[in-house]
Amino acid sequence: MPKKNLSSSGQTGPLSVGNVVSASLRIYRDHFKSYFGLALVASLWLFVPIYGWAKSSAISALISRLAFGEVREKPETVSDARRQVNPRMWSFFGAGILTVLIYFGVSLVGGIAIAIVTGGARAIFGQNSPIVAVLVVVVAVIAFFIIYIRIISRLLIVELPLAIENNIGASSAIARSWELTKGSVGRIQWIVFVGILVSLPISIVMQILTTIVQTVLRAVLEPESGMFYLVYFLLILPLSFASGALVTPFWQAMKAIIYYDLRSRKEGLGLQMRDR
Amino acid sequence: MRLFNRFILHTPESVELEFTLAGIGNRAYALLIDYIILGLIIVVFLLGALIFNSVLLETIANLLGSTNRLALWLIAVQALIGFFIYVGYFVFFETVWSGQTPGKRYVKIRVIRDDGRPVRLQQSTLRALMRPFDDLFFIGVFFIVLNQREKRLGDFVGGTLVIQEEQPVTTAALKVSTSAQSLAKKLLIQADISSLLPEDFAVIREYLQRREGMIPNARNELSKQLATQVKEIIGWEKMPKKVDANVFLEAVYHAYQQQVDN
Repeated sequence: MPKKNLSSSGQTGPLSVGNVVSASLRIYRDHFKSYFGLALVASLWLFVPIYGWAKSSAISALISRLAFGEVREKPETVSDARRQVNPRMWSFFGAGILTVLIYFGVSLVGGIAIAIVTGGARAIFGQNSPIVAVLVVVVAVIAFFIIYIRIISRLLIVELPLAIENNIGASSAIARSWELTKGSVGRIQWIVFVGILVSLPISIVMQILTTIVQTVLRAVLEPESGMFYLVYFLLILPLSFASGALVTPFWQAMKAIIYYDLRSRKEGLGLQMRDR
Repeated sequence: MRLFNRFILHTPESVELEFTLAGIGNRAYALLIDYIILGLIIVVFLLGALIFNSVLLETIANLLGSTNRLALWLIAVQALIGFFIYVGYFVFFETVWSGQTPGKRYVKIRVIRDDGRPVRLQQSTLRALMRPFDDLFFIGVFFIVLNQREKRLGDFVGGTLVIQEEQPVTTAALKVSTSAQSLAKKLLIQADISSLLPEDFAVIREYLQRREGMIPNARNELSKQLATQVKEIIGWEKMPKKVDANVFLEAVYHAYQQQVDN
């Protein structure tokens, strides 16, 4: 009997919410050294302004491209993928800037809207029923957050078309992400939520580690001494660095699998007759 | 599919059963849903308990003049009841629904015993009792992620596994249009349907099942692509221009089914 997540044509096909998360974790685990190494390099590049930021986003997209190859069962070597991704480095940077601008614009509009609503609520309800006024403002703020998160979900996979498809620029990648996510926003939000749940243990462990190191340092060395700060710097900084880099490939893989899943459902990616 | 863990069971009758294990994503999702429902139940219970407590304490105070340690007793009993609700939710559903809670049902996973048999009260209770350890500090998550059979503490103690439900592909659901049916008759005579391998048929069926959800542009392109490939396989050169790729694929699907039936 054909199984649900292995389509009868032998490829992965559309995935359920939970399976997307399990698959990202699996792909990350199978290539842990490679992906974690890339993520570390990406976080180091962040220290270099502009060029470093572009390089960093290119490397993160590289991880996504590799994960995409894995889930498609057409894996690429790191060097092959790198050759495809690096020339588009500035497109990633441009896409990143555009998305930040979009978020900024939405926040601005949202802020103004909330201010108007607050003023209006106070004018209408202020005297008689202040509680209603407060409620109206609360509803407005919640509505803003829902819309904001919705927009984040729609723009989640902008890097993927840039990393994988050809003849795509920054703005068309944004349009593509918008188009592909249409009608699947709820599912994407659940996937992200479950992903947060699953990655929570690692964050907690890292927090505990950091706290332990801090406490030991405080006990062993004199606080507020130069030595203390030096060792603190040398230990805590790499630790928080590493914990950030630890989780990044998981999310990059997840974006790649969401992208794969959406293309599978919306465009039948992978539906091909076997080569004879 | 190496992305998901498989588990092969050998029954005493020398039958091999293959299961796909649920995976951490599905289990986390199911647990989330279960906790939301359980949370609502507990909130309702707490509200009821609060009201019950205040009413009871007032009446007793009026009758006897003081309540002594009654309040403490009430809270203790209610805490115990709360714990029973927490454990009982999972035990009840997993026993009555043969390994599924509402969350698991939604996510389409199921608890079974190590030997493939359905869970009973004993296994379910053991699983549920270990839950405070598994869910606190996410210890269960580490266990599930790090071992081959995705067992958390509760699974080890109860001797259970959590698997994904297999969905049989229902071919009956596919409707074939009448124009496709008449084309199918022609194809059976004129083309070589038998050169279509089962894998090819599977791809056609998969397309027909999934095409509703696709973006129209992509669907049209894909249908033309597949149609061209299928045409080559069955060696049918003379396709009239007016035949829509979708109809053609439906016809091939229908023809293949008819040929298999004969």
